Amino acid sequence: MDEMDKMLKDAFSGMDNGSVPFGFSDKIGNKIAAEAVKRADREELVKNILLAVLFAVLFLTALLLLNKYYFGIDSVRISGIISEMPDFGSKMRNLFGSGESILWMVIGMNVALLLLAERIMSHRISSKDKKNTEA
Amino acid sequence: MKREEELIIIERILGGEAALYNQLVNLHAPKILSVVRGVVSSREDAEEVAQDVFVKAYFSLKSFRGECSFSTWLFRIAFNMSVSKARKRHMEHIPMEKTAAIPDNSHESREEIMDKENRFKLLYKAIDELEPSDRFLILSFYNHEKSIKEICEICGMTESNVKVRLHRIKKKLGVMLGEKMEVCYG
Repeated sequence: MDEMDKMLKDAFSGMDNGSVPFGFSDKIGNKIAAEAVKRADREELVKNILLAVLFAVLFLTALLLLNKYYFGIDSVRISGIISEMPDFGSKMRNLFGSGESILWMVIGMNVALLLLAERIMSHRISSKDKKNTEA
Repeated sequence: MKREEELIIIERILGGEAALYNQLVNLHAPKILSVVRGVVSSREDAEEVAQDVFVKAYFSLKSFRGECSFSTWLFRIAFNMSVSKARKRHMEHIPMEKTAAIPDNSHESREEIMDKENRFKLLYKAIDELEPSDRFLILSFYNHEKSIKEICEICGMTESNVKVRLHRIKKKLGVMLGEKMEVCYG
């Protein structure tokens, strides 16, 4: 043990290692209870999502089976529908490419920028207020 | 409390006797709070982090296999949480002077005490300038008397790494202390 070791040991021997603020363990108990509720909610949400996905898959399978065996729509027809997708894309491009829609998009962007500026300003003002009240 | 007793309590908590966790909290809270205070920005933050350490430990109790002591396991959680909190808060923390009191040695003369006080104040200032993880390391080693092996488990480093790091911190503190003494005493 060198000089620095001794000095560090001495320096830390005066540190407060024994005091815990009043109600410390109660606060932990409350936090644990709150966290347990949060975790239970989360688990339930995950369960619900999984159930919803399961039902969706079952529903889709049922629809596919119904299409195939009752309506007689086979996979060749379905691939025909898929092959029409590029045409749908070009129709959407025409719609958004027109002069009028560009004008509306510019208006929309301006409104979004104004909203963003408003949010930033109000956030700054509220944080300044907070600092002032803390001071 | 012995390690075996702690393991029995943990088993009972996992078995459904959640109220027993209070015993572990009361036993380990002072040390955890003390070590966190040396790393994070304010007393409120330190309390918050220390509470979160116990909350996290409670929900991870299943993963505690008893390979190390419960205290070391808690220190590991405290290390991760307090260092990341300190880094988020741009390394501000409670100055050591406010958490440490100069040890009292009544057999020393007034001059000796004054000199010691000044040296300790400068040392605390030097410690304050260290990285949060380095502060945690020296607090664990010198204040809470954790062994090198335990520090390895806490910080997830190898034994040689811990030894080298402690040596470097001591050297750095020595240099910083020398510089500060030169500024003060000329």
